[in-house]
Amino acid sequence: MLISINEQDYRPVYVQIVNQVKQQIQDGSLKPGDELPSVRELASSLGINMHTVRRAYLVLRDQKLLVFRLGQQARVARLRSRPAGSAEVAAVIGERLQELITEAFLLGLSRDDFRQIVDEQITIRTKES
Amino acid sequence: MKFKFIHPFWTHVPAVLALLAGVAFTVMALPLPDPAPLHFGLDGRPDKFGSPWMSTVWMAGIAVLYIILSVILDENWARQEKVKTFNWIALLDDVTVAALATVQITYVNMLASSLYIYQFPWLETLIAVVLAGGAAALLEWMRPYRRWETSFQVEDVSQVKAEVERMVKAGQPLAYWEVQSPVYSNVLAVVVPVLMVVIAATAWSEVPWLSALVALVAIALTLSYGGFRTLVTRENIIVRMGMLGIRLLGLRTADIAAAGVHTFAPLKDFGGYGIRFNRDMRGYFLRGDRGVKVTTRKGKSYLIGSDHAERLEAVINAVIA
Repeated sequence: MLISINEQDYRPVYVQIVNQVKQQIQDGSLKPGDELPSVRELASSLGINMHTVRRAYLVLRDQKLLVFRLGQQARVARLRSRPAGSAEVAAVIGERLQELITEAFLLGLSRDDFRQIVDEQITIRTKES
Repeated sequence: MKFKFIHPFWTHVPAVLALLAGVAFTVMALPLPDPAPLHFGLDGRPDKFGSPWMSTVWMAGIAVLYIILSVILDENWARQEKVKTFNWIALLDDVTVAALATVQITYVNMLASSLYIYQFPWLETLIAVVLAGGAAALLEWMRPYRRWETSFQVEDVSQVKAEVERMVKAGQPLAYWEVQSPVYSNVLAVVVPVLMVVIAATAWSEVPWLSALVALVAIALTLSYGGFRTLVTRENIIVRMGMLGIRLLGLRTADIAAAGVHTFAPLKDFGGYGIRFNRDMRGYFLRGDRGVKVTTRKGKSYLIGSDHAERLEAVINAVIA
């Protein structure tokens, strides 16, 4: 697992950690059952507060991507066998999708242009994983 | 893919014959006196009695365990051979089972004589060990060499390397983390301590200091649960062990002169897995035969076992550059 913090990034540090873990699960670098470093170890390695790492881990746990077992390190959870329900989809990606659509509209993209960009990105990501 | 042994089983024949001899001699001596003496003092007189089958079951059980262990070790050795080399570990089961069988035979002989005085059969054991060891050495010498074709996929890490180099250039803090925690080491970290605690509890009334020592070692073994973890940051490379994260290796990246992927034979080059030493380097690995060899500016070398050797090497080389 490779985690890096970009201080120039406008997103909060915990979101950067969440996104990087998700990306590595998606591209197969992190597999179900893989162990993650302890909160303390990752925080001291990156020179950030422990609460920031803990917050990132808790977000990933709430999204069912990590599991915590008593006395053990955090591990990558099993991948879903069925797609998430509409309520969960709305909670996790709905708002961000709305932001993206707005940005695309303001950039002057048509519906088809936006669809094409999304399709291209899906193709690239699927190839990588 | 179908599992196939490349090390021949007939190298274990001396051990199997010794085991059969021990069991056959016991069966021929039936019926055995019940209760029979089980433990003897320094003067050879019995100080504990019990079932006469106790020694046979222990002898056969330990012998079978040794033979199984030897089959596993010999197979591993054979798979790691690049050319035929004499495998001294192959003698392990033959010598041990011959010694066990000799002790069993002389014990049963003593029971049959009804004279319950037992002196340890040093000479007979030595003769049996030399004979079994000699036969095993001959069979090991005769053993044909079969090449084991290993195949591993070399990972394309150009993207990871470029990404880490970019992070390092940008001065971003980074942490690369990987784990070697095979099932066998975690089973050993649980099963062996449990057995040791059972033995310690059983022997507590007779030798409390030894039982306490065994219990302490059992606790120490339990702490190894979780395997080895490697952490690479911009400043350090750290290898930790077990559930407490005991630090085994800590290197400052500024002190590292070179790092490269290294393929090795765990049994032949290091005599096994775990924290290992040889003339050239100190190794930390629990599975596989690949890792990253790190050499410091002072000339010391360390081998860090890895399931993703190319990726680990790319990260280390990016942070030391």
